[in-house]
Amino acid sequence: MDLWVITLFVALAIRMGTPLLLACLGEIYSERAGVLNLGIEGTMMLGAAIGFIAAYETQSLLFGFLSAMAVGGLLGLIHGVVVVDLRGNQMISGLAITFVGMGLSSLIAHSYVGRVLNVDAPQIRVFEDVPIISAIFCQNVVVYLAYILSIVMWFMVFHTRIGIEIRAVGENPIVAEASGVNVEKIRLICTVLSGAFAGLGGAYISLIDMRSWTDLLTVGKGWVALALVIVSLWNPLFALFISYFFGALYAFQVFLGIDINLAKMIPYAATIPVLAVASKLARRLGIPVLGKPYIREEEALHGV
Amino acid sequence: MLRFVIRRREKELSYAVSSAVAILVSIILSLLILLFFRINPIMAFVKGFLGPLITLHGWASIFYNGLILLLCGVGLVIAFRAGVWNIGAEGQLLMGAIAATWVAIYLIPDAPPLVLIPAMFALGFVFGGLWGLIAGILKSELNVNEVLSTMMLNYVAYQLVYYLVMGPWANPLTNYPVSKPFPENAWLLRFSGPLPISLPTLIIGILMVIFTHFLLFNTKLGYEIRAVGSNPDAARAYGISQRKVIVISMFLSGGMAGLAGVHAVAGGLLMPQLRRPEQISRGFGFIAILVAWLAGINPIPVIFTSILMGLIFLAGYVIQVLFARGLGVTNVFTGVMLLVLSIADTFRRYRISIEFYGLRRMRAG
Repeated sequence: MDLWVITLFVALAIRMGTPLLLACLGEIYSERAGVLNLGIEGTMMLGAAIGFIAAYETQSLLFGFLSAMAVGGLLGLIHGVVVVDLRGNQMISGLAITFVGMGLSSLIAHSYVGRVLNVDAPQIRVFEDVPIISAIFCQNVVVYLAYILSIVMWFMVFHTRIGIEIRAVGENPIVAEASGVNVEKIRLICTVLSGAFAGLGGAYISLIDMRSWTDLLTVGKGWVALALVIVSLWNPLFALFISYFFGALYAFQVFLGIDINLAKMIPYAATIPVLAVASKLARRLGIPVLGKPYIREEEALHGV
Repeated sequence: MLRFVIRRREKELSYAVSSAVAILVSIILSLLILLFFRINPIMAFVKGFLGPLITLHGWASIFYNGLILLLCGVGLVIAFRAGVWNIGAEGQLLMGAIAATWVAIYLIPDAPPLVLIPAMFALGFVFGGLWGLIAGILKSELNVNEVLSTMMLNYVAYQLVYYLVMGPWANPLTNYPVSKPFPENAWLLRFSGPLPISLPTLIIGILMVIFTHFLLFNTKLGYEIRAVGSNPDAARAYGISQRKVIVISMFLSGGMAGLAGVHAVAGGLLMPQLRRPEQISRGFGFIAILVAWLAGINPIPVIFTSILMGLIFLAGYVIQVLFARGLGVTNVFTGVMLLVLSIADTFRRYRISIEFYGLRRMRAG
């Protein structure tokens, strides 16, 4: 096959994989802190809708992305308050966020269906003449941001004090609190972060990938991102590679000459075996308190 | 800064009361949200919630939705009791719909109704059950998170239906993505009283509720399911096979959603045929989570919560159509209700108070 065809394929894989990566990075932080955010799908969708409206009205991509992150963070905050402070069920609350996000996005952006955004994201072009490599490095700034964030967030979680605190909260909140870490605060911040990143990922789809809004735009990318969090074994650097591998599976839809409805199945069907392999590893590495509310002993006892 | 402090109640509030309050609060909250979209909440309530209650067609739709939710919901009760988070009722339902279509159009289209209809339900159960079983085996053997695997299977089933109605099973007489119509012998509404409600589904639904109640509370397997769900460590110590419980509960749970799928394609007022997936289900499998949860994860109350959610689902749909705001109203209803419910669950067991750092303490509840 022509090298430039492969280059095109890699470029497409990166375009498709970036929203997965962004959503995945934020969720890694909240799961590391012990909070499962099943609201990613809906948060991405609302981020995509709000981001599109903001960017369309102001003709500014930056404003679009910032609005998407803000609204995503807000959904994260709601989830955080419900599950961290009010000790609500994390599964139920997360699903609730997904439905609210899905519902609100179609209500809010209803009149924007069919409009096209004509704003280009700034491009960084290096290694332009080298096949394959150019696909990785001739990209828009948001993709570069995703690369950089993966590295920064990997460094932060494994090599800084705040990273140690986040992992401590997820591994053993009782010990973490005894050593002076504010469990609720860390969990809340990480949950807000996961929402903001999901919003960013969603906005990437509507602002750069599709440049338009349609109902239910993300079609399951949020759920795939959630699976990739496990597959990446909660490691932001692994997430970088795995997200782009899955981006390639999405890109197959275009390159593979089979029935489009069958081709669309590929990323979802492929997630299952990949998840199965990863889950075997994750059994040992998993986060012991993931999904469980942190209830102190004195709170669990009968009180005034 | 403020923080929430919770204290365990000496006596838990009654489940029925807290659920009823939660439903009321979430309906009011949802209608207030609609206000932002210039939908008059009072009009929406009257037309969406009260409107269907005064027409025959309205009641038929409530029961059509309600029976789908009943079957999915009672299946989810089994899974949730086993501590298995089956989010895949939607996909399992679609597999049941595929099974029904296969039986009615391709396998035995000329059979009399008394053979055809039971065969559709039987195969619907098997297809849905196997779809659930995949996630069950993955969880029991490889520790795969069932929330994610069932969600992925939803999308696979969704695309499979799309593929079938646009490809091999497409009706050659029309450009719409639908299959050929079912033979008249497969129409469930053949068996209905003055109100157009599918009698076969009603009977199967009630039987499933009784079966589930009996299974959970009167059999050894049911005891094991409840033990694994409520305290997996203790269950393991007693030598109860967690793997067996997960696999069986996922099969039964999926199977019942499959039954709902048969009803969804063959039991409605529309022409029975396989349609686009969003026309077959529109999220029933997810709303069924609410049905099971509102029922306190008990089979008998599912009868009431499924009819109630059938009405709420219809109300969302009516508002969507009347006020022409696209999809979304139903999803907002579902989301708000789930959110309020998860808070209500804490509120039922704990007193919640808000503490301001350095300021005086406010107390609620």
